[in-house]
Amino acid sequence: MTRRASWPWTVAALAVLAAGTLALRHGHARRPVVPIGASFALDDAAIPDDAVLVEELEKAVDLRRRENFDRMLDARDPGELLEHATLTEPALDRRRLGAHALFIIGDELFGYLFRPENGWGNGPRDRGAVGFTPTLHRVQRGFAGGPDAFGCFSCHSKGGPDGAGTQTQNAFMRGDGERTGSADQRNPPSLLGLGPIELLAREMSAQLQAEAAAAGDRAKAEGTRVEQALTAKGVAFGRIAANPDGTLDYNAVQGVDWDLTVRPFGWKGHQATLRDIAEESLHLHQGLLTNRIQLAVRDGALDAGPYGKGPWYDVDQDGVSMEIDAGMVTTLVGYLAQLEAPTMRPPRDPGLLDAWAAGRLRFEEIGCARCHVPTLELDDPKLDARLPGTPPFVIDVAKDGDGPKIEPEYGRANTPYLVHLFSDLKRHDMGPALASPRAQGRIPAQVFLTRPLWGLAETAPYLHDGRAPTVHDAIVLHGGEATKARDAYLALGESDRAGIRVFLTSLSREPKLFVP
Amino acid sequence: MTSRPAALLALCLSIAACGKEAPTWRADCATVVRPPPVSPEAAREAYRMAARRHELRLREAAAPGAFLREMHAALDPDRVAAGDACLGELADLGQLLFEHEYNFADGLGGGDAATAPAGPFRRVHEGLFGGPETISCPSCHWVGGPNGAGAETDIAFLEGDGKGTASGDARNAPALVALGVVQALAAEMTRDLQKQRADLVRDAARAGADRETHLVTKGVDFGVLRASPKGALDASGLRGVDPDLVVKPFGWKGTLATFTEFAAEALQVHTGIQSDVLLASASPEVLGAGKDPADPDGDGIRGELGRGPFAAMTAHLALLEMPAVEPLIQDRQLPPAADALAAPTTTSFAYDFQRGRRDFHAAGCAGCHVPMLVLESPMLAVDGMPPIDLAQNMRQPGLRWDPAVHGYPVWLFSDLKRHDMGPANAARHVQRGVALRDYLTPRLWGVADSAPYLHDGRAPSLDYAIAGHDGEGAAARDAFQALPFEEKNALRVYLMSLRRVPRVIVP
Repeated sequence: MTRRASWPWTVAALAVLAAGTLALRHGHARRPVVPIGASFALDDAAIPDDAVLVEELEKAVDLRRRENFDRMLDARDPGELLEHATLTEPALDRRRLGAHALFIIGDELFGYLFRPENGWGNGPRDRGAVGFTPTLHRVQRGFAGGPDAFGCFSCHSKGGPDGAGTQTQNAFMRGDGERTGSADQRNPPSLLGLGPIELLAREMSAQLQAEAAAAGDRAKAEGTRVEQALTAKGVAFGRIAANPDGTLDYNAVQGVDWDLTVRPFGWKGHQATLRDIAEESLHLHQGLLTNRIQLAVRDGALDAGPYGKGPWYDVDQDGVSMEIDAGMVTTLVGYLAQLEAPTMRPPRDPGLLDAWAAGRLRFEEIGCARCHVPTLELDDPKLDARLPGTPPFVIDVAKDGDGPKIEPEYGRANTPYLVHLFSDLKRHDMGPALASPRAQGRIPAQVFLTRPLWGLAETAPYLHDGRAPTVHDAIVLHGGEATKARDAYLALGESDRAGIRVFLTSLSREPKLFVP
Repeated sequence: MTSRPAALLALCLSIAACGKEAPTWRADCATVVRPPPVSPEAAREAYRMAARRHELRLREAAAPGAFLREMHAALDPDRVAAGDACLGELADLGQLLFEHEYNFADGLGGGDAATAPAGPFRRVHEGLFGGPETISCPSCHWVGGPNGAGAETDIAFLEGDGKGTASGDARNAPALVALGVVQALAAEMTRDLQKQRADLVRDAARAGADRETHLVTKGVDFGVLRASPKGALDASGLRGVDPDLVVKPFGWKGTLATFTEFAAEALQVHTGIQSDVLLASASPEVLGAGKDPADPDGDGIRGELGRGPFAAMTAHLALLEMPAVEPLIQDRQLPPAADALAAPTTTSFAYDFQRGRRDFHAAGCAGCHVPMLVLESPMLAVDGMPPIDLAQNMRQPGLRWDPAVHGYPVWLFSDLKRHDMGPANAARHVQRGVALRDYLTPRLWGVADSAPYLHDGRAPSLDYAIAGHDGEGAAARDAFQALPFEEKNALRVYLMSLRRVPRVIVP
């Protein structure tokens, strides 16, 4: 206990030391140079070996050089950049390019600022007029969206590439186009580790659906009503009841839609795949429509309402009919699926390290880990980035693209991969204080998906609308199903609370060289 | 050179201690040798910085407010003012402060923000008090590298009603490059203009008749000033500068003469952090009307940012590097970025660059976006510390003496003058007396790395930035749009050659 309590004194001692040195300040003679930032100094332990460093540096410079070259080409010959940032469907069909090429190309697409001539934006306007400039809608207009951004990276760069959004980058969704208070605010989440998350959700959905099907079969076979607990990867999703006629009763299902599809994307968990959330984001934030949407509108499979009043080949009436083809979405999805997984970076200060270790245990002890499940196990790390029905383009999320990657448990053969995401990928009622202004589709206003906490340190501010500047504020604002855990946190002494905060702040991402 | 005694007198007065020795920086500081921005040593430094940032963040998680408390403890404003500190170290601490994420213990927000159920943030500013809409400086200064520009998603809505975006003035955060150099240039121009005014008043008095003069400094024409024999001035002929003849190069509308004023105000309106510097100068509309003069925003935190840490921020901002003007010449064959991808071709953009430069002048862009101004002296006067020799201390690329121009050429692409940008760009609020349509010529240096463009960030590419010009810029816009496409292409290449020097970072 004494050691656990020692860290605050380290901080205090530093402050006293600094203050002490200042007490001498009224002397006439200048004192020898003492670095005024001594308490902010650090040693070199965190730096990679020279060989690794040089290799990393070359890689970062190459990436920058490629971008610089492409944007120069684009200046000389507009359109080059987008062309270089996209893989076409035929190119994907030929399958000459590997996952690595897709990663490089997708990275460029992610950073591209779309322009009206690419189909950015919507609505009839005279784009040929002298002085025409795009119009941003910071507050979105109903289901039509903004556009409020030109590029993906405009809201996903905090803490590094493909990171979270800052508070200013909140999206104001389904609003009146003007008043921030009319909208449902969303803080852009970090995009790291999404590949493993999609695959986890798929496996969980398959498990839940298999359990439901088995219950149905059993009820039919036995001619009785069968109650079956639904559990996927150790996470309980309530119960399902099967009637003798094979029909299923979903009323006791919890935290997942009645189709038993786990939807891990979006703050409320409304999308199941990267492809779907990417397509939706392109529409809402950039006014870019995929060909799939246009064709679905043509075939009557989709209501044109949110997209515009134009003919199916230019629903959003911006004069551009080919905005986003399937290859472009695949490029984005293939890129996102290859992004690194966040990592844990414990403190180096010995006092803080003690607090961290204690905090890690406390986190589980007081019930945070009941929803923020530290680890889920993934069986198959293969993700097809393409539309079903086309030849697959498979990304191995445990291998392809940037490291660090998810890894199997050490020392066991044929073990599943461990995904340290700190989420159960299940929806929970978070209480009235955190509620959205209104329900989102079928998902009630108070209900949110357990936010994965990996990478947390780099993603302040917190909560779905970014209202919490620090981890502490975020914990305190938990309500509903999380009330007990919150109260348990508040009941702790300050040093125990601090331990939890230090532990959470160690959930970070690997430091990496980057030449912006 | 009749002005020399006057200038000396002014200098003495400004130091306000003529008898005493003017403060200078201590001479025994270790020289800060900063490695080339893309080098293994810079990479190591970046790793060190990232590790330190992470450790500080963990410390802050353990004890909220610890970082600022330590900053205050480590930085004594009196010592800094006396020069008893090392500028390089001060700037490094300033960078840490720049990157710090403020929390309630620090004084984030105002009033009961810390306990407001919906959180402390206000995306659209309410009057001059502001938001806050974020928790740190890099939140809106990150595009194109450290201390960079803002994205379209970061646009601030100034002086609004706190509710609707249309009530405020949309402002796109500019990249923070070479602020010290800009301030020094503007200060020289101000001095020059004010000297011309003094000369005019004296001439009119001597002649016993009305006199007028064309105010020109560093080749930029600021219109006509008239004086009566009794010294009454007629400023109605002035162009692009306030009647006080102070060139104000900061803010999209050119409203402030120093970046320190700007930083103090930005900290308040965007994060609700109240610096002592701001408390001493700003009005209750900006600060809040709380009863406690040390805590006018009423959040219960007094002395949120003292003069010591603020001096560190000042040093950091003063020493930021200059962008470069550099055509891309790819003279060696690079390998493809991945298997089966085409390798970049070897090519030179030097020809397009030259052609584009010619077009830039021919189309009239250079009339306002004056490519180069000459800085005479590298000494920058800032509050709270001895003058800074920018040539010696700023980050690279920095000032270089050029004997051909008898000074330091600064390729900033601006005349530091305000212009009427037409109804298409009119603001909603008169800001510090600047007319709705008037904006300062934005500096185009580093333009390649600061998209999106224009004061409200509505232009995703250079073409739209040019299309957005109106008023005094309409003729150049029309000239660009009338160019044959290959000339437009060349002009774009030229502009894309105005870039920030790549810098290795660990985000």
